[in-house]
Amino acid sequence: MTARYPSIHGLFNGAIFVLLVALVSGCASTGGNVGVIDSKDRDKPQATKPTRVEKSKAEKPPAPVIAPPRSSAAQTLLARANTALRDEEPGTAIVLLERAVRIEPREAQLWIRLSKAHLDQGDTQIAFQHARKAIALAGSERNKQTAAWLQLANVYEAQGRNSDAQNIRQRYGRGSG
Amino acid sequence: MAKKPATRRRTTKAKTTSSGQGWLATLRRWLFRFLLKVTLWAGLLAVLVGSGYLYYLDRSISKTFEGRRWSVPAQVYAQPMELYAGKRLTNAQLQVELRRLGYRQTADLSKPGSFQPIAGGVSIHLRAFSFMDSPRPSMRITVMFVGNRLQRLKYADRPLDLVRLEPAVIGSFFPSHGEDRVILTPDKVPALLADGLKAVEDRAFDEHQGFSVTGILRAALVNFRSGEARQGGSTLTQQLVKSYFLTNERTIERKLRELAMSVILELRFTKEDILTAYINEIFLGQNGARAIHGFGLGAQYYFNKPLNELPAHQIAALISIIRGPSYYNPFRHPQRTLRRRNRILDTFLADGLISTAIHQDAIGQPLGVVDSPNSGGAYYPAFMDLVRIELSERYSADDLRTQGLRIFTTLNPAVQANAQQAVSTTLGVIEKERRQEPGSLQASAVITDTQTGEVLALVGGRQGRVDGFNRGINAQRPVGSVIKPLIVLSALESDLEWSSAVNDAAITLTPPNGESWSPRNYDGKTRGELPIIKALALSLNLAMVDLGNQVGLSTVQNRFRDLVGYTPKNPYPSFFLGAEPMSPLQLTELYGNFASGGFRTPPKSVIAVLDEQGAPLSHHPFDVTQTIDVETATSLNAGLQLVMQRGTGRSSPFAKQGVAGKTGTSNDNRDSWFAGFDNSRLSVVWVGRDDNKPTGLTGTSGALRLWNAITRFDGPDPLLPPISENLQSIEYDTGLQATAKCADVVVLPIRQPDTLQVKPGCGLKPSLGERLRSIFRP
Repeated sequence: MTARYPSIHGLFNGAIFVLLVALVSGCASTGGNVGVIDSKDRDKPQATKPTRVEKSKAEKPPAPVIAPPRSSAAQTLLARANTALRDEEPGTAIVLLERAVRIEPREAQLWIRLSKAHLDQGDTQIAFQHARKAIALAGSERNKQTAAWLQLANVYEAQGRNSDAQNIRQRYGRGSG
Repeated sequence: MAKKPATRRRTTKAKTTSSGQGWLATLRRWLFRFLLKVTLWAGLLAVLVGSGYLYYLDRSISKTFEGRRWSVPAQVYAQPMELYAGKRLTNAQLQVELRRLGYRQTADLSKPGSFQPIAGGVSIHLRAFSFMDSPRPSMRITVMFVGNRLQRLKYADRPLDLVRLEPAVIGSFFPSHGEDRVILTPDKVPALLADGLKAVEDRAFDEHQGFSVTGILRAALVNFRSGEARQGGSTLTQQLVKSYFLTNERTIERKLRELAMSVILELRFTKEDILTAYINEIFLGQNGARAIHGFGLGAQYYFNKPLNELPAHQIAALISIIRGPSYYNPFRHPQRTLRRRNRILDTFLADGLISTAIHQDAIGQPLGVVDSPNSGGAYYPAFMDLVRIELSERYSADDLRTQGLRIFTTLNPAVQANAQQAVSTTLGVIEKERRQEPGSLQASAVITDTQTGEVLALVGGRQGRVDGFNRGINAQRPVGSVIKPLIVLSALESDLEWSSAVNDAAITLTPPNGESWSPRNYDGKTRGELPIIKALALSLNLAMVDLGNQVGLSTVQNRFRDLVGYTPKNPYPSFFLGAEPMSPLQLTELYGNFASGGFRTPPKSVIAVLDEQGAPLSHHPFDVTQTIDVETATSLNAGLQLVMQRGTGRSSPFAKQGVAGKTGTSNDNRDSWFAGFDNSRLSVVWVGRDDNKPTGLTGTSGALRLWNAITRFDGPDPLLPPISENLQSIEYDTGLQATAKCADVVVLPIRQPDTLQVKPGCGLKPSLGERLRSIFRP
């Protein structure tokens, strides 16, 4: 490996990390309609991304910082899935996220996004169980716990359980989007 | 009145006599007219019948031709191996996987399907494949390893995050008459095959109209000169027709019918259509119940490679088989097939289809047929049963056999191969050690991913490639002590703790409407009061029955129903000791609740089904349903780890490496069970006999040993230590709170630490609850 690529690669991972932060904030505050990473962006100059992040940060309350999946493989798949979610292709997102889960089965974040993808497809029951799974896997990581519970709130809302959703949002300090 | 006729008679006679030739002419004329009429009528009839028959032939051959053209058995794929930095995989394991997929090791990586080991890694030219999410073109990559991990991936000198090998074809749903095929489109047919077929089988193919008189004469001449049947007179079209209606009768009528159909085919379809149909249709051999049809499948079956990767000598070998798939069976008659292959290579050379250099090289090559478990989709019949069951809910048998569906499944071929080998080897060793009749023991194993429930391997019996009784799915055997964690779960969900006392003492139960029942411990001894953890670890029957009674049979059985989705068959207390028949697959479902950390995760084998064009027909998402709260599940798993460290699992070499599990033995040692899991895999193993006779094996001496052998291939992926604020040290023998300095302790989550009693002399202060209790104690 030449010296040049790891650094770009590192930058890219860093960018994903920052974007994930934005993603969670978007997800929680808008009912989960934000996916930010486009695989096409990979080859574009890095400068275009931070603008977007700053913008979303400026508009929304600070989001919990979630560490990205450990392996860059799962990160890549998560990024592609987020693109698919943004493009309103939850079916594609599910295939990509399930592929990522096979690599990191205990990564709560992947299950959170799976829950969202199923919710987008209208499968509230699966979305509900996947959110529960995310909560179980988040363990003691507070920010993952928060993100997972807020996803559950989104599911509750879709199920018409507004007061349950409200309770979670109050408990985890985020208003409804 | 009487005279008149006489007169007339005379007159007639006179006429006749006077002109005898006229009478004859009349007769002739009459006959002629009659015959003309008859002929005309007969001709008309013949034309009618003939056209009817031709119409019938036309309908029949065209329908068959069209039908076969599109009738494609569903292809079933295993899970593709993902390659990414950090993956636990060695260079050697990757190369095994590449060979399994038919990649050849060569310094020349110009073609897909090849690899070359380099220092610290391997270079691969991946084949193109249409995955369920996207197509992937062929590409050259480099994979580097450090120790037992994949270090990095490169594509065109740039780092790559992840890439997949194409999945192995593990089977297809061919029709009951057994014909299996892989359909090729004309652009996928190598030119050498098309030209070679014509050169060897039918030189006049491009000119003739279905049959060839010169062809027949030439064949006769060649055969006469050589003294053997070197060439057949049938055209490719005739051979195709013949193979559509496989029959051995050799009658003139059949020959004529074949001829007529050949002509019809030639009139109706293009030469390219006919040649493609021939290449997809021709019979190339028999593999058990499965008939190998077409060169696409033939290449997979004999050489474990896609057709477009075959070199000249292998194409020639396949062509040589056509003439007599059993006479020229390359596995059984390699020399004979080799001789014919070389004659065909000579023909290739003579016709200018290959160069002298290629011919020279090809003649020197061995046949190169491989009898690999993957050849042509080698079939994992036990796993395929599961796929069939899952698909039957959504797809008809006809859909599966004819629609060319692409079915993506969860099978991990490496895990499957290892498990199958472990079963075969371990049973042999056990039989030898115990001087049991060789082949008398049977076993099955189900291995799933703990978080997703995806079935990675399913072993249905000792012989993996035999499509027989599938013990993994269909054998219903009493599970014995493997059921006990369910009682403990129910206890932990009531207000009992690991430290709570149970009584290991003789007991006789007489359920209403049931026979009285006096269970015993396996060793016949009783141990009195002890904590739940020790009772579970040592698998004490009497203590567990006592615990079951404390919790209540109905509570335990309701939990069973929650966790596996059906009511137990046995409504009596003997259920506590596993007098409940279950299949290994059902037991896997039960343990999936524990291994996943509290979610019902039914074993599943199908990921998605795509149609022939690659459009998704159905996706089968992860199926998880929370059944146990996380804390309780974590606690139960901590106890099951202690079963391995201290109890009936302690003989396992992996006992202290972060694995959890439980043994089980049914009455008279008829069934030996083990269910165990680590961080990523759950395995359920059964050992017993098909005739249900005692084996003399316990869960420990049978199934656990088999599990050890299965786990040895990859080593365990240790469970994470339980994260709980309530971890407490309790004395293993008494359940009293203690420290490692003053007692033999185990560390387990205790929900209400206040309720723990302190072991005297350990320097521990009694808890507030304990002190309060002591105040009010009389």
